[in-house]
Amino acid sequence: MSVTDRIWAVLDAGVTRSTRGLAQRASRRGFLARLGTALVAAGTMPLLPVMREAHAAEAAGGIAELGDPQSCDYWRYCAFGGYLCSCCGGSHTRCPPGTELSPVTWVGTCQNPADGKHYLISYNDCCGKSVCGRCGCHRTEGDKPIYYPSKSNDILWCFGTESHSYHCTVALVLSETTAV
Amino acid sequence: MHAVGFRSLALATLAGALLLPAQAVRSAELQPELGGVAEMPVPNDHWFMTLGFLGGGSIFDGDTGEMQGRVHVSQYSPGVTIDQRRGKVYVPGAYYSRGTYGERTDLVVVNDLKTLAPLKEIEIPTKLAGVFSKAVINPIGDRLLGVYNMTPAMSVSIVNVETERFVGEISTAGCALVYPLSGLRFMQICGDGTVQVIELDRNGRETGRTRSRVFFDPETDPVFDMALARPDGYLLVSFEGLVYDVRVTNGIEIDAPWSLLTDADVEDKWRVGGSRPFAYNAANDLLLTLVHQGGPDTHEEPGTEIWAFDLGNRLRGYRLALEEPVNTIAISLDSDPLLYVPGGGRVRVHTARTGRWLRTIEETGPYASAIQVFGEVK
Repeated sequence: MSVTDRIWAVLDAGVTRSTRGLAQRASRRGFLARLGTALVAAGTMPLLPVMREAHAAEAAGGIAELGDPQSCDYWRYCAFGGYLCSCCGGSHTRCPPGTELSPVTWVGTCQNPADGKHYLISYNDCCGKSVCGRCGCHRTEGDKPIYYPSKSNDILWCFGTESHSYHCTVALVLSETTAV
Repeated sequence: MHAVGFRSLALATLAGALLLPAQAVRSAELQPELGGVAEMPVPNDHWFMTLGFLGGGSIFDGDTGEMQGRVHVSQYSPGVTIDQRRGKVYVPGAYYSRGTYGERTDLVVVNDLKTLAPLKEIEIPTKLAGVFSKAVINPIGDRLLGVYNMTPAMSVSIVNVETERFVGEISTAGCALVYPLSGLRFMQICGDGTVQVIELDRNGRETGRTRSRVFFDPETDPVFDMALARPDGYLLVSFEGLVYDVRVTNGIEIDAPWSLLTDADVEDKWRVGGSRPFAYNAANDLLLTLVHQGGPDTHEEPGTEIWAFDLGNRLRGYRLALEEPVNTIAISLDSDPLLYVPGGGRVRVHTARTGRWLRTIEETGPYASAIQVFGEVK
């Protein structure tokens, strides 16, 4: 992977951004399917919003959870950019085997629908393998340009790792916070 | 079916072999073709290069739609610098000895613009920023290059293209990218709502830096990280559609902004947005922007229309509805400009002053592509 893989996949394929986005991009899904790559999975997403119990047994601090960590609509992903590690052999908090968790991250502030509270979310890239290519997701709540890096998801965030090859991204709850 | 086809082919080959002596006699004067390798013609202002997912570096002529060749780009090459005067293309990149792991080497690869072959590798610090912006690499003066780094500490590597050597690194804490200015200067956009101008000497060493006043709020209405070159500075556009004219002469002057969106546009929820949503042609003072209908935080939503503005009077000239939403647009830099609209693996070419469709170039690369144009700001 590379930054171009990542950025193009998530920007052009904002496929998973929302069901609204899916409707807008319906004409492109045929093209993506022909490629038989990463974003095929996105094309199989349900067109209606679906809420189900999260698989998030490891939720930080026992916070209430509602939503599917394999769906871009999951609440923690409000400022996410990249591929969901939960679709790549890891989870929304754990990198897939053989990759390395980047200690340097960008953050977002997301509201948990299960308790109505806002949480500071750390988005850590998992690095050292080629791009996962499954469950591309790009959302921009509170996202900032690249000159404001701490809140920018358009940056390859594999810093402090052996390799800065991008694989996927996890979303960790850091703390409760106030709405921005 | 397959077996029959194969047998037919074998028979045809045999028949051809049997006929060969007679044909050879009849064609005694014909010299066998040897093949060869083409050289790329001299580019003009309507040429462009694609950059995007799964590679890029393909060069096309916007007037004919014909592909002209391909430059090597790495997976970490969001932009290149095309030096038509020297006949070179400078490509920044990061490489691992085992593909995605192993020893990392960051380079500026010097490519020949005629043969499109790499001529020289200039090693730079392994800090090349992983951001998708053309302004990762740009010329500074006529013999220096600036390459933007992020580790996440921000800095700029300076390369001398005459000596083909890395000459030093300049810390640019809080300020990103490399936007060239006249002389040996470049501009950056900073996270505190300012721009910064850094001046170098001929050897690439910093001789001074200037910071503008704070003119935008990065929390409430940041400017896009895409500056549009004018002869005396840059245009910056905010998420809410405010246009800032940043003029850099002896100092940094920034007028009060004006909005691309009328009250009626805002009422209808039109917003600017995309990954590279703007294109500007200085020769015509023509600004093009992708727009879509959406709410706050949709600044990277693909555009459903392109709006064209005459900056002389700040009025919109036309609206161009798009067949499918797109993330990027580009415009050639000459006085009779072409508008490029990449998306869906093809590039649509329009006359920029009218929006009229001219042609569609197919198979320019999978997914959407960004466009980098040839030529210089007129």
